Amino acid sequence: MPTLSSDQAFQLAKQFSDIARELTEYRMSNFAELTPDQRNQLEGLEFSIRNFSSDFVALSIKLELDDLDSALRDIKGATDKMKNAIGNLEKVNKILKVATTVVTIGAAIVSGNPAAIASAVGAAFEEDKNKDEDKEEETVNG
Amino acid sequence: MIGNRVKKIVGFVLVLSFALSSTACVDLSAIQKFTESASDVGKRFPNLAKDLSASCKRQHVYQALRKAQFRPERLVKITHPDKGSEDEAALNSACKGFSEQEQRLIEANAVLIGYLKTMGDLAADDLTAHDKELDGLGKSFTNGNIFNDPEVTAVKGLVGFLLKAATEGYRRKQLKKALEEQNDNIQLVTAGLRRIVAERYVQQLENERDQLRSYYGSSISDYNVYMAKVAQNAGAKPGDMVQDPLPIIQVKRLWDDEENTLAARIEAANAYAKALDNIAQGHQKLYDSRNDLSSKTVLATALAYGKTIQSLVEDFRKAF
Repeated sequence: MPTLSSDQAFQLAKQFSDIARELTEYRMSNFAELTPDQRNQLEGLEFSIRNFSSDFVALSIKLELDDLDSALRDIKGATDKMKNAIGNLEKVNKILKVATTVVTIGAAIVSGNPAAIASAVGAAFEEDKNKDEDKEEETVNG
Repeated sequence: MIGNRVKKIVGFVLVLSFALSSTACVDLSAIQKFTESASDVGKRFPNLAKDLSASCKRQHVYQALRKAQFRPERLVKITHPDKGSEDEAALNSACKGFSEQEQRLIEANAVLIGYLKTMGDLAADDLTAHDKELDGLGKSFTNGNIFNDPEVTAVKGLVGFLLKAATEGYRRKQLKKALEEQNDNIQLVTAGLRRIVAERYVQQLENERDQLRSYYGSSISDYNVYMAKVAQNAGAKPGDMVQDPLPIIQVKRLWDDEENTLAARIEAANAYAKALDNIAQGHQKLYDSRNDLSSKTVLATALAYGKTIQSLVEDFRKAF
């Protein structure tokens, strides 16, 4: 069964690091408008995502999957969508949902459980779809 | 008749002795300088390797301070945890993945330095010795989750060579053989070390830097929100320009110091990576010219690589 290589783990580390940075930028740019609770939630999610990045650098995880390449492509697709979403969304509740989804993906990778990874990636794509629908709704109502 | 034969033999011996002595006196000091410079940068490498888990711990300390909301009773416990304390255990656990990596990095680098020293000895026509602690690595060296299988085999191959060179009393005449047999191993080991330092370590430092910025940025923003409330309580109206920049100026200095330290480490990591490139390229040139090692062009090339590496050592020294 293929095992996550050092290079593949490094790519994951970069993806998670980029998302954490994006979250920091959002939180700092909107600091005054956020409630203390929202700030804390965002900061906590940011810590978790950045720590996953360090875990992937350290390769302190063992990931063995039959269709590893395909799973990694899905993870990259999902994390790319989440990163773009953080950069484009304005509503904090949506950002919190997206960031939580990223943490779920990170935890699923660390768990090495194929079903958990598939479920988390599926949730990310669903989240992305909802985000587009919400935007359309806003435009119609707006 | 006999007299002529004796004269011929004596003449042959004289020519042979001259040829041998001229080979032995060939100046290969440029190759020695190249290997010395390369060893110099490698000697400081353990400090860099150990910074992998240190960086991870600093990242977690920033987070723990924010989570603890700077409560005085928690500050020292987080930044200077007692031995055996929960805080220390939490930090070690969070960064344990880096411990084995550090060990393998230090070992691979020590093997590389050992090899370069041996090459220097051979170039000087000296008998060589090596660090006996490296012998065991011929069997025990593992990938540590960072080296790939060909790189592990290459490290073990170099260890085998060091042992053989020392026990069989290799001298200058084996220099060519060493270059031929070990060039592939050197290319693999330098590439592996380079990848880990220039990518993994730098990525970890970037994570730490992002955390540092988040830590200071959030803390300053918290302070500004707090000051706005203080001002409102003192009668300021919403929209009034209320600022207290002086504490921020002080904090920004601390922030800058830490940013500069991190920037120096990233620069040092890149300098080390460049030094490894030079070691690999220099070795490749010597391998390509192994049949004519004493030519002026080859020696000038070795010297140039040695000088480039020496200049990179300075960048490395600034941080480690």
